[in-house]
Amino acid sequence: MGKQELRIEENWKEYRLSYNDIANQIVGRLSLKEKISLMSGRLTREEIRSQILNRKKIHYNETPYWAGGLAKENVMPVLFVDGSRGVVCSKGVYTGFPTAVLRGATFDRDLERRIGEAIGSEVIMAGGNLFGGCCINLPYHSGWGRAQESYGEDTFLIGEMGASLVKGVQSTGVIACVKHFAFNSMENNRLNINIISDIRAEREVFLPQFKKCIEAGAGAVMTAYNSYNGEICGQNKYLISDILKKEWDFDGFVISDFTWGINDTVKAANAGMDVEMPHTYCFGDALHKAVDDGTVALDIIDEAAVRIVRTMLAHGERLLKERNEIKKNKNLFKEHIQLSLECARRGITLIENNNDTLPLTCKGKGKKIVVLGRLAEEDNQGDRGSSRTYPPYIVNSVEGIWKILSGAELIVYSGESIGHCKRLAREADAVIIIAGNDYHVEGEHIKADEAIIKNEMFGGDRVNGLGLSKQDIDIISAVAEIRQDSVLVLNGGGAIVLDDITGMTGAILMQFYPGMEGGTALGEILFGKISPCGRLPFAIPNREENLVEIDWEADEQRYEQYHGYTYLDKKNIKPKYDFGHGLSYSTFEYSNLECGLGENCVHVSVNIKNTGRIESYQTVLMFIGTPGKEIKREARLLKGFEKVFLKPGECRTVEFDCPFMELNFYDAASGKMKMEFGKYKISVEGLTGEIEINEQ
Amino acid sequence: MNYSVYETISNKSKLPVNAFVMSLDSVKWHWHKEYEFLAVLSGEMTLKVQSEEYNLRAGDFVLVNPRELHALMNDGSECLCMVVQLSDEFLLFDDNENVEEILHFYINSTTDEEPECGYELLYYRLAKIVYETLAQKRTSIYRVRAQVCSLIADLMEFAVYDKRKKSKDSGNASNMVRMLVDYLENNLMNENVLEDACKKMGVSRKTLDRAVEGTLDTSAKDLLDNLRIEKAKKLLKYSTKSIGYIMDVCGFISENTFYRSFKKYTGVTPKEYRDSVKREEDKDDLKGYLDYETPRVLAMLKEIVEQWENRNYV
Repeated sequence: MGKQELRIEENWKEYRLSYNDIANQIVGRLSLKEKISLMSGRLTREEIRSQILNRKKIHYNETPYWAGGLAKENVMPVLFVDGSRGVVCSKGVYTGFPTAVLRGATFDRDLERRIGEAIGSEVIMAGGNLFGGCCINLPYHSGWGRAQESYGEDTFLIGEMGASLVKGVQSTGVIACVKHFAFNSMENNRLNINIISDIRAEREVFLPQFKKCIEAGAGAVMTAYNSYNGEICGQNKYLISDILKKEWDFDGFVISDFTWGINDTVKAANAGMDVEMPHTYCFGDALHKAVDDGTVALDIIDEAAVRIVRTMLAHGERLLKERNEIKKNKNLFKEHIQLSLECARRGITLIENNNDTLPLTCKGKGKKIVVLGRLAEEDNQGDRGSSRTYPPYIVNSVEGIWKILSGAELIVYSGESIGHCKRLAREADAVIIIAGNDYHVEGEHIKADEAIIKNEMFGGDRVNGLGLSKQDIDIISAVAEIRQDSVLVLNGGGAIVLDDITGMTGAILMQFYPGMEGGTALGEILFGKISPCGRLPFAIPNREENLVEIDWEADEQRYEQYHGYTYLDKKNIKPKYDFGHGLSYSTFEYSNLECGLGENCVHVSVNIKNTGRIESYQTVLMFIGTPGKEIKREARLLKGFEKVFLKPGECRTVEFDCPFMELNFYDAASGKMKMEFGKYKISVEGLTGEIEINEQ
Repeated sequence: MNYSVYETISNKSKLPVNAFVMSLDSVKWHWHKEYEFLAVLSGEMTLKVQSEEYNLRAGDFVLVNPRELHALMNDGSECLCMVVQLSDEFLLFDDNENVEEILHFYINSTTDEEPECGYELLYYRLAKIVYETLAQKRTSIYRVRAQVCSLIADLMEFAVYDKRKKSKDSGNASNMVRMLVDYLENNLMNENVLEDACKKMGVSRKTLDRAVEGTLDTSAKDLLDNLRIEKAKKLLKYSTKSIGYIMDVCGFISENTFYRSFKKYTGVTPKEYRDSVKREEDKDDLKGYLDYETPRVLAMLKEIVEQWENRNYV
């Protein structure tokens, strides 16, 4: 048993393929109609619409969405559970984890794998078998409305964290479904937009993280709504068949994004779409007819059926075993909530701390803590579209701060009256301002007709810019007239440009959307119970114009090779806060950077010592600059990260192995990924080294 | 509740408020858990809320937040004041064993910035609530409830307010002074009541003095005198007990002290005070004080209500 488990975790693909013969036998016994029935969702259009609009008091994905399945052959249906920050199903049951962007800021693979495991077991508790919340799109621009659902702006980071999530989820037997394949990082016009890119950007920037997750064993892939180079992704043969299934040798199945993901039976089937979600429209009878007419080959149907059947058999068997174990664990949710808290602790990022404003010390009797801002008491978990979770409770910022106080009075004000903000700022011992974004400003975009029914416009890209709202700026400026030691806490899924409030606050914490225990972690960090240790998974520019150009309403957008910090590097623009920026209450000293060559990899080691007075986690980042002689390339790219825990005075050696493959570039002449020879620059936390890689 | 005048008028059944009009003489330092609007109908008065002091004239009003210590006084001229106390059914505060959490409103027509809806609207709503309460019509309970709900909605939408939360054991000065007021109330007859209170609360006299001074901007001794004299006034007015008896139960050690303090505080001697009250009552030989005043008060309220409604086409 133990041996088999190890085998499964290490190589899901091999395990699934071991079911190939049985799957072929089963499919061989099926009628065409039965095979096609495996390939579609079983919801009615009306069901899904009314749930998205919450018409019948049943929310989106309240129960898993059912597709395919054949009882007579013991083939489990796909039971789709959405997410990204946890399991979407039910109300008040499943754990609300921090959004993926905060998890990106933890730079902690092990933590992400554990979160995956927790989510996987909750998917099982919810009666599901496929987790559709592994979002690994790369935000081309920080204003993407759903940037929060991915891990930041760096391909390597997203790939590593995504692969950790996949491994964790699948350790429970649940299928990890990665999405949205591909180039889905504009929201408002996602159904119409055509993304254009060249092969180099595709292979070096926008697809490697998908490849990494496939290599980690992901059993399913969801396509994107948008078009890529002229064809919608759900019907994009180049992406689905040529790259995913052939080049990467993906063995699982492909599902469509919901309802609008495909629109043409023949094109979709021939492109390699295996399952239409979540209801039958293009497939079903229409697909049957296409096969009868000869426009879709029977082989195509057979291949899809075999992919679905072997995946469901392999995962189904494992999942049933896990289910009994999971149901025995009485502390399951308690452990998961603890994990959610731990994640928030490691992801919240201190980006400014003048004169040691933080940690605050005034939490005792007779002190007054003033918390300002519209979001102070909001249960601000982020998006309210398909990634919305319904945890049993949420500790918001104010509640979290209250929990850590020991006798101080807490005064909370929404901040409409500038006069009152000032009055409170005067009487306070400390002022904390909760500002930034919520689901109104960014998140899944709800189409206009739905918005009218719900009488609420929300979500979408940050078309009005990356700055703070006027109300937030007014509060911050008013307080700054009285005192400059206020603490600004930011909510958001991407970069927030702060040029309007430069120098007005003493400290700035980015708390992203920190999950159901986020307030607890915030309180602990504000008052120094723990040290912050998150690092920004994106760069924050001084001005929005410093970022790549984007037109959110366009029907066509080009994604270039450079974006985020690589773009700023290229333009030689210093960001306000760099990618990877993050402060601590402790101090760390790095020494002894050594760079060498290992087996097919660059080996780097560095010593880190905690020279401060408080124990803390610390993230160590390694960037590599390529020679860039054959072709102009990025000045540096993240190629390694580790998270270590150090007591005061403790010293450790951190090691990185960066496979040569990670350093490849796309060579247009040969049409292949290629290694560049020459000198590579290594930089680790201010130390720099060099390594020469030559043809061997 | 510590108000004496007109309290009998208020129709407490099924109403979400305690609303009445009082003809103000003075009201001692006290506190309670209800939100309380004080709105002046005629005359002038001085309101002390914790360490702040406000002069209110006709048309002015203040919302006293839960647990704030407050006292009223006027210079002896007639002052009619509407009082509207909100019941705690509106969940504007949360009160459990360990924590108190309240919405603290900033409504003071003499000092605070005017809410978007205007002070006039709020004053009208108060008048309407009191009018309907006093009129005791068949529809009153609905009218009053509607106005109270509108009033609270207006406050929450337009007024400045913050939420204040603290532990009950956090030992802050206000807490201590509230405890002190409660203790003094029940033990006024004891000569050394302040020292007893210190022992009871486990604090030094110095700490107590500092707390009272900081919270009310008055000395503990003056606070005690205020409570003693207000009690004496009440007894002089509504009872036939002898002055000697009254002096004793109010804790004055000698007739001299009683007379001196009383005169300093009210401008008259205890005897003169009792006689003057008596004279007022005698003026209306048959019907008694309340019935005489009610029609007049109702007329005033009606005028305020109608003026506003006519102007706003209600």
